[in-house]
Amino acid sequence: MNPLVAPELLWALLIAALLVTLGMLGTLVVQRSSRRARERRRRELDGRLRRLVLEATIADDDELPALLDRMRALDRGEHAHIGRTVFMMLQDVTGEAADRLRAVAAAVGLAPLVLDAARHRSAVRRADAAEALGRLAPEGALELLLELADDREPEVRTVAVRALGSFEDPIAVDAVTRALATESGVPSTVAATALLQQGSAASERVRQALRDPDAGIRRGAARVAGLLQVPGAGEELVRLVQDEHESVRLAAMRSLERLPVRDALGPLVEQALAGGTRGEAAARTIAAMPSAWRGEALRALDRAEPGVRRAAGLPRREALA
Amino acid sequence: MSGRILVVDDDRDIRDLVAIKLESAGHDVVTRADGAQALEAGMEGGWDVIVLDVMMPGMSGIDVLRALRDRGVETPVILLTARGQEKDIEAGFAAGADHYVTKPFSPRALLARVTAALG
Repeated sequence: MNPLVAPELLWALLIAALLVTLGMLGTLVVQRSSRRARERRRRELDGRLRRLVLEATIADDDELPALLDRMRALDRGEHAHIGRTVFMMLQDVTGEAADRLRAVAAAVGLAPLVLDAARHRSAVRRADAAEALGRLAPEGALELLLELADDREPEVRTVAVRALGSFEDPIAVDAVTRALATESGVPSTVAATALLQQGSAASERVRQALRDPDAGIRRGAARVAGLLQVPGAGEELVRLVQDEHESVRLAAMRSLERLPVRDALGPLVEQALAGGTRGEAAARTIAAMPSAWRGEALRALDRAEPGVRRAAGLPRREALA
Repeated sequence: MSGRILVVDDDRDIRDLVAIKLESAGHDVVTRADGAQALEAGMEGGWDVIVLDVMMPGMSGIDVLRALRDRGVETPVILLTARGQEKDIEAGFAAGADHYVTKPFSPRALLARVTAALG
């Protein structure tokens, strides 16, 4: 009987399979060993360098230069390790400690690496660079972040806009405000949070944005205006209670709860009587107005639908009867 | 005025940073890395102030604080809360917190809080 496959071929296949298996096992062993070696090296670096970084973080002005000199004298691997530590810590600290960490980052040469990565062809590297630019704020960071806020990839734009929240320069505020636009590709909550982080530096631009032709910008600005208590925004918010877009109207109403304006009561009653979601939102805003103003408006809600009356805190009609 | 401070945070960098800052001001600092350890240490007593991170795996800072207050521990507690987690602040005060500091935080501002809590 003739075998289906020649014995020589079977042997060759067996040996090939054995070699492949051995090769895979060998690769696995090498990978594991190198990972263990890396972890050992990281632990060893951590043991030697972490204390130095922590000391620099809380150092007095006259102590810092000597600590930075010690760090400059370290090798490349040690610099990279310090860079990672600094980057992580900057997530949780502010003020003087953050300034110290930035000085450490500069001393170990982290800034040039981050600046280079901002123009890397990989979107992931550009996004990482955007985050690092926000935290480290090296010289030139703002200009690069403005570029990244217009990146072709929406994920990169999103990270860049979030990072711009740390900058109070008017040009940074403007870029963040523009990211509120409907078609920006940046989630509006990210841009709004960045504006809140910019705080009073964003006030004037937010007030202007309440008149922007883009509904997304008007909506975001309307929401932020109340949270930031933007001076002079009240009149614009009253106008936006009757905006053509419902989302803008709702945002304006929520802000008017925090920034009450008496002239808003008329438009709010009109919206409340229209009923539905906006009616309920208007009723809540009316109920949040100072008690000396809202009496007449609440009486006007007598003829509103039950959900609106409930939102205004009014008793049910049956209960009144 | 120096005191004996218990610092609890699962993030080693933050825990050690707070410890080193407080030690530099002359305080005696002991650190713990999770809620269960924090409760055990808190129950041992002898603390002038406890600095307690809210967001920890397992037993949260609020859980620890509530358990300490239930057992009659009245040591001043400063909570470390994440920005934007206002509910944690409300829950913290309801559980008996004395102060809170929002992350990201300034170690200098935290030291000022600790000093104020020491009276």
